[in-house]
Amino acid sequence: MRGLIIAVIILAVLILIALFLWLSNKAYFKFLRHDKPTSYFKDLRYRNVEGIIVGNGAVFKYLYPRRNQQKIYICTTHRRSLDMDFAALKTYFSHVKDGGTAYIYADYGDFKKYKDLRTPADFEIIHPHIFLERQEKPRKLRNKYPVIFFPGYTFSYLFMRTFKMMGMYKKDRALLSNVAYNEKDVKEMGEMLSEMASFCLERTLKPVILLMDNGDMRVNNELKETCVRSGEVEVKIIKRSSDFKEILFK
Amino acid sequence: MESISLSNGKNIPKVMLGSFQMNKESDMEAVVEEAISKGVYGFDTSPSYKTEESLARAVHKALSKHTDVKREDLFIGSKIDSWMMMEGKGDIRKYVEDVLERTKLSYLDLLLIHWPQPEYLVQTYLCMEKLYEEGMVKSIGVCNLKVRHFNKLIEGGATITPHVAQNEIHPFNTEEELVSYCKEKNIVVQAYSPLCRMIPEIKNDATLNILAIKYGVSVAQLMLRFHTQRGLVPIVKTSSPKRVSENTDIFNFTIEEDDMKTISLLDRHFKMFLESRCCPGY
Repeated sequence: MRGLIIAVIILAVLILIALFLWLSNKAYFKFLRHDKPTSYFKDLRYRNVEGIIVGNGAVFKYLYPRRNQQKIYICTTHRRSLDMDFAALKTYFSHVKDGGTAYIYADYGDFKKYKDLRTPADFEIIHPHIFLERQEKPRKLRNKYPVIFFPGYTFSYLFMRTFKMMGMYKKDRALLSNVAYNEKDVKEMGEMLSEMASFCLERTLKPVILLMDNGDMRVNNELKETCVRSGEVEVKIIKRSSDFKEILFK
Repeated sequence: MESISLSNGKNIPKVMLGSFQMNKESDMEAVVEEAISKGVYGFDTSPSYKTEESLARAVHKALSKHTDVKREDLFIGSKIDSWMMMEGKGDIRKYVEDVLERTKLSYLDLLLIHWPQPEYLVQTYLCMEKLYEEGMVKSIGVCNLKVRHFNKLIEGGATITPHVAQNEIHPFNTEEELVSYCKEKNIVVQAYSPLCRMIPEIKNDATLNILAIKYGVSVAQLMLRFHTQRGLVPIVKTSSPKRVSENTDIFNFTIEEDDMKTISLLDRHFKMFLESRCCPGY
């Protein structure tokens, strides 16, 4: 009898866990559909906008699209590699008018952390030809059940997104990244930013690089130097969360 | 129907029929039949539309009915899609051979690069030049290119100037720069989505409606005539045989110069098909 009760309890717990995971997975896709750039064929509003912004982390957390009024096409997300930000820029830049601005937000800490990261959201948001060209195949099962295959990423996104929905990131906050300087990483990031800037210039877009304030001055100084070398590139340092609003929607 | 001469001496009809999103075989047959009986001999398709075979079947069927019309009278154009360019790394011969086999056509009148896939644009075009020289395709061209892409082709060693350039052109996106460039290089420009898919903004546009009333035509006819008067070849798609007649019955009136300018002023660089969303890195 006791064994049966234990078995029933275990079964109930397992059912609850499965239900929780299923609901989390559902919630993930519900949020993602909301955050995903709109379908260009169904939504004709976003044409010849003033600018585009790509980036992850703080820019996604503190930027509220509702303030946008269709002036800036927002392609920000939670946890994305800079490489995938570039892919997002390549996919969405045509929404911007000739001579418009491309804002590229980059945080040195995130660059180091998410260097080779591929999330299910990347495969949802970025054009499949980019992966085809790189011979990267999307793994369907992994992308369908991120809660099982990427639990850390999925739950952090769900928490952050829920808090954002509740308006908890609306307050102005100081932003500072304290990641140790590494010459090789800084050089690599600088080269990638420079490549992104050149890409924009070639397509008559004005690149504006937004760098997260860093405790080690050398990081941003070197990044700035590398970016400016590629042409007419503006580099701005983000020190407070309100800076995004100031720069983008002034 | 009258035609325009390409730089290689071949002729292209002044209006062509498109087949994008034409999924019903019965519609295709009816439209092709109506087109051929009205003297409209130009057809556009693409592997991504999944209409190459149904179009070819409809053409073969119509030809067997209209014995006075020969294959040489028709102008059939298809495209090379981005995935083919990537998969073949620019070598697209096998895809062209495959389409000829599937459609039972001995040649294509026009082969276009659908989107300028940045990594393989030049290689693909050079391969198309070879196919053109071998006679597998009678003319070659490009779609959705900007002037910077043409320059890239020249820098990449292209020796044959594209015969045709196909772009999204309608009163909301007149592509003045590209049209002037093509005129200068003797490239015939085809306009796809020439009616801007008749979105409400176009359909209800006051200027177009007033001018349509002035000339006693529909807004669609006015726009198509606007294209042909600019020297462009509109590619218009319809699933209704009735509309085939309407869309091709545009040569019995002329839009005055001032009205042409008025229509051109509607340009606001509005595009239905955003380039980077179709071809990343465009």
